[in-house]
Amino acid sequence: MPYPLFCLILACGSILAGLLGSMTGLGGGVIIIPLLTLVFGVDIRYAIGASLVSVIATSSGAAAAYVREGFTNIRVGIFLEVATTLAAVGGAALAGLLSPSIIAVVFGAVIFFSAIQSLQAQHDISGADRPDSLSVRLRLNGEYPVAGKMQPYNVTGVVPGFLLMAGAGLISGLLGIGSGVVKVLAMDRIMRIPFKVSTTTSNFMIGVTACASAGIYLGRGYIEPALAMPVMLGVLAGSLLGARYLARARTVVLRRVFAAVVILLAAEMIFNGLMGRF
Amino acid sequence: MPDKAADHRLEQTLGRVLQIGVFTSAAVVGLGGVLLLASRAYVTPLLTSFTGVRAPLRSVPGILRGAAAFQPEALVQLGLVLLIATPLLRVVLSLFGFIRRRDWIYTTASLIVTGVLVAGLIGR
Repeated sequence: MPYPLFCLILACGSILAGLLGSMTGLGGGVIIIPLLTLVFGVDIRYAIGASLVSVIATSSGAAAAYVREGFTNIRVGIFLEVATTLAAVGGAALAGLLSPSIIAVVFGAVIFFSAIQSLQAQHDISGADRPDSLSVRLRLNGEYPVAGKMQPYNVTGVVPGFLLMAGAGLISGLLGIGSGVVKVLAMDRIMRIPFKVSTTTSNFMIGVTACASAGIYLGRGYIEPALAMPVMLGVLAGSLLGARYLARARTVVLRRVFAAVVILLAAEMIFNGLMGRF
Repeated sequence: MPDKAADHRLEQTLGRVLQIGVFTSAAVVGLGGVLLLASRAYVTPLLTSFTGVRAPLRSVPGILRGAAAFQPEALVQLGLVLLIATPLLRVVLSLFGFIRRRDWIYTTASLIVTGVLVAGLIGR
């Protein structure tokens, strides 16, 4: 295939993936990796490298807007990044040991779970009744704007939240995706951090987590410039568009359609992985 | 609470740094991309089997040498390295922010994260 045509198709696919990924909270990687491997026959290791850099671009590009609104909790972010970065390095090391087919099966299972999770109703818990002693000592409790006023919230479940975050970091390092769904799950459901603070702090952390494994992937030659160029630029453009549109759109239908697509892709990744086609 | 106000100011600075970093790197990747599109006719068969990208494009010194010679692939890679370095810069800046406030718990946490990121970038 001529390279300019390849770039054009990939850039369009990446814009769409970035747009839908940011609007549904699943991220662009869940679409990009199946698109590259299943449609273009790209080796999954190159696909992971390209996805990983686009994850950093998405996270960093969107962070500025969120930060201005005062939702992110910087202490929670830095504290949990200790878990995610250490585990991401472990994940990247593990990726070098596992066969591509096994990675594809794990990838399919993870995006399947993420898609199911994204369909669950979001209930805003708005903080725990009382903080646990560790969150007081670490000063994790914060406040965020609700209808123009600063609303304080308590953080709980620090130890289980930290451990689940390590799991998110491992997945991110192994598969080259942001694993934002697992991060939000840990902060929202376990640590009882308000949903808006969870999603924005998760976005803030995704780039740092991906950075931990990106250096390792670069050194191993997984980051192929001819492939990463259209993917990174496309996903960045799409996610910036998505973040802008997100404020206005009700995304229930979109969320369901996207989850259905991801579940189909998950099935195909698992099937092809089990058949040893990677 | 002065603590929260300081947190918020730090967050805003970090957000700005991330934005500048990502747009700078996108511009460099874009420049390399234009040159790459002009220089390459066919590419896809290369990617179906994994050999790893060629060695000079795997390390920062090699990428810098290539980019200085205006090689399209090295320029794209330089943009990607700038992108990868952006979150690292964010963590380093928050480290300084916590040191200035004598917040030793979070200074330690930022130091650990910085160490892990630097090790990932330098080590194999």
